[in-house]
Amino acid sequence: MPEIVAAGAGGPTRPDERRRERVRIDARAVAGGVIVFIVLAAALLAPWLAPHDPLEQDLLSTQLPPSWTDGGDPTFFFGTDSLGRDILSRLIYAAQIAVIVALVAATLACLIGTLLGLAAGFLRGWVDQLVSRLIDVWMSFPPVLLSIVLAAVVGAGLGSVILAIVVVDWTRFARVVRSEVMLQRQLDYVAAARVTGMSRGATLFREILPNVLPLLGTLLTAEMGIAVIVEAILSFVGLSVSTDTPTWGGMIAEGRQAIYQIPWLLALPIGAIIATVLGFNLLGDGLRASFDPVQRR
Amino acid sequence: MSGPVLDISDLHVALGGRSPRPLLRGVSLAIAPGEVRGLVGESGAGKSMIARAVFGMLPGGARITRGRIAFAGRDLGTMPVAERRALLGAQIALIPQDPMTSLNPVKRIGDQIGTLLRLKLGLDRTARRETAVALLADVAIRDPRRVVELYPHELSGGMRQRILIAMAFAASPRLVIADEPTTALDVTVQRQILRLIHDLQHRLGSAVLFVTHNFGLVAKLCQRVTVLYAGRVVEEGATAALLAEPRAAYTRALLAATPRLDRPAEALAPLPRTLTDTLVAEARAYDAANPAAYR
Amino acid sequence: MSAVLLSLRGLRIALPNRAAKPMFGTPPMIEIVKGVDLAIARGRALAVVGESGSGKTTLGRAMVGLVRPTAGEIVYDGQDIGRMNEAAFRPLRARIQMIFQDPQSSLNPRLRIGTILSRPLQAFGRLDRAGRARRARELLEIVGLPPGFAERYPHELSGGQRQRIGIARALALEPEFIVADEIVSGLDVSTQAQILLLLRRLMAEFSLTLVFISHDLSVVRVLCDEVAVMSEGRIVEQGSIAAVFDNPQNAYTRELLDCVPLPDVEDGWIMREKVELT
Repeated sequence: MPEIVAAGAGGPTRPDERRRERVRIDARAVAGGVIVFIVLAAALLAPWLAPHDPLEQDLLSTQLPPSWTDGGDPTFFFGTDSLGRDILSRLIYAAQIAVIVALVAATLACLIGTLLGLAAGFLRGWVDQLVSRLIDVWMSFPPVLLSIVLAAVVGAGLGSVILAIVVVDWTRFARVVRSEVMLQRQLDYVAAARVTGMSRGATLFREILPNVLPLLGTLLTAEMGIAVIVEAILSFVGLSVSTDTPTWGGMIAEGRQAIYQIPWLLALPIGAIIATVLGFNLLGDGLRASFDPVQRR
Repeated sequence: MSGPVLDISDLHVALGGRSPRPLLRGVSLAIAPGEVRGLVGESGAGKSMIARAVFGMLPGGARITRGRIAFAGRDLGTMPVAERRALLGAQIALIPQDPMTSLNPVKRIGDQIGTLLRLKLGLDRTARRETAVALLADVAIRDPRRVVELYPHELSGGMRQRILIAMAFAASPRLVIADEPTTALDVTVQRQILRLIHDLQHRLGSAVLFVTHNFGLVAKLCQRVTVLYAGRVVEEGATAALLAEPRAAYTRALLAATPRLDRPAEALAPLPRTLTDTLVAEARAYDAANPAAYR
Repeated sequence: MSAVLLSLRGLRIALPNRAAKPMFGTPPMIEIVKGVDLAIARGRALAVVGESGSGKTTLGRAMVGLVRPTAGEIVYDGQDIGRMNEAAFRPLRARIQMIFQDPQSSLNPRLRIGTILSRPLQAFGRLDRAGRARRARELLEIVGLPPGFAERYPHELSGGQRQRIGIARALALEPEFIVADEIVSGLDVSTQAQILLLLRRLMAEFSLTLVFISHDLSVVRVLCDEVAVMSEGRIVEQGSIAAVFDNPQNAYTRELLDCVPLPDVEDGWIMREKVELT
């Protein structure tokens, strides 16, 4: 039945028909969710999923091609590297580091950045001056270089990788949250909160924050992707976890040395990184499109 | 110069493909050369949709499903695209609703008018500058030589609307569509704008389609008026007669619901729900009887 | 109990002029309200009319404690609220409410209508959770909307429905004084009439005192007993609506009234506009 456009705009409508609360899950959320789920599952279930010990060297079968090509060995699905280690198992185990860094570093950066951004945007005055100048100074460093310097100074290890990412990337959140809060607090619903007697804290956390959250969700998943990349860069230059632990960045570094013999050793971890980053970004956009009441309309 | 300058007949516009939503339900409207026509309706009645259809700028997903729009006897729908584009801005001009967003914020006023003059009148550089200054002087802008050097944000809303009026009348158009040109303005500025439209229209002999929700503006500016509701023409007639003795119940009710500063509160009567319900039911019945009109 | 509920004495308000903000440092202050004296009696409805930039909105915001005066007094029921700090003013907040111009931006887009209506009650610790939900439904009925609207989000409503929610929120704390700022300016004629008549009914029903700010002189007559005409931060004329509208004394008031187009054909009206070079 075609709708009538001009049906008495402001008048009382008939008794409410059953309200249809249908959340339509966006296709991007599904695609991103599947990718992120696969990566998470690989990380959690690595000991059971991986056909081989990722560190086990088999010097009799080095640089084997993938199993489906000429000269491939069916026990090594993606072939082996220069030390005869199973590439598939190393890929799966490397997801562990990537997932830990993505979740922990991005969440911490998000928490710190959001709190500073909320404070700066809402309190303004000297708090804003301080945070804004801090952001300005931070942003003038090339981010990846800063991470590398930090990791080098603090020393290798998972903790320092996370620290390097958090210290560098909190500004992303602080900057966006600050300007969004500034924007939101100009709107009349904030004035209305004040007129109806809401405290400043309640206004910030219960009125303004719900309007910043959808943006923050997208930003957080994007940051998870960025964290995966930064971790890969750090392990590529050997500043991440010890070289015993397989990482995608470390595999790329190894693959670079044997690029003409076994190009797939380079291609596979790069593909894993691209897929993971894409997965996080799709998930973020898709979740927003599915659950934000304003975008859902 | 005998036939109507704008002749819209049986215009149907619908949104979407499979189960189309009607926006205009067979609107017919003819404007004589030099006539000032008011087009009145509430939001959603379809008055802006008519203006957009003439300009070929229907919103995404909406399309003309039946009927035709003829300009000076020529069907705009079958005309080659390039030819139609050449008409717009020159023969058919628009005065937009929002003077704040209708000018490019990063270009000087003189350059914006200049672009129009180059495209529509093919003037050279010096002629453009002189014409731009003259056009601004026409809309009572003091010191036009200074104003052409300014950016839009340096001007008030009323000034910007005057500039947009100058641009609309720049090529002596045969038809000007004014889409609620004063909604964003103060009443004192509003009357200046009406006076300018009135004067330029008179001088150039352009016809004007004045889209508004305000019967007051129609009363002061327009010779004839068309009232729309739910994408249908409810009533059309000479302004004085229609205001004095509206034939349609909807027009009567709308006038009774309009607050007037010369009448006490008791005179105000909201639109009866039963009336709008009836009109909506009629519109639905029309849709049901003519499903082919929206395909 | 005195007849005067709110009086403004020599009120001046300056706000930072963001347009003239230098690259560094604070923007200069610009005086928006330049000495206003005004008194509103209990149960009366006062219209404040003027064009954009006249200072009427700033004046209204000062009455509800959203803007601080730079000089002068805002005396509400015997207390100078212009100088109170937020804590001292808080008990009065429940008695002084506001309906905002743009129901789009004054309703939190990511909260359901039910939540929006119960927030004022929550802020003052009134009622428990279930009681607040019940009260929200009751408020919806008061403004003529079905209780099921509590589950909806603001963007699912039409402009007129949103403005009804704005009115319902202002009534939530059972105030005695309401400032309504341009509340019908974005609405269709028929919706406008409904909102005006609703507010008229509610004023009588809840014995409200109303300040109705508007640029549209036609709508104020429906609601208000008195009118104050503002221009450039000052009140140029005030009195009963009938007196001011039918027999304006001030030149600006006369000009303003003459510019309102009545829906009657009048040939000379447009030509009365002297197209002077401004």
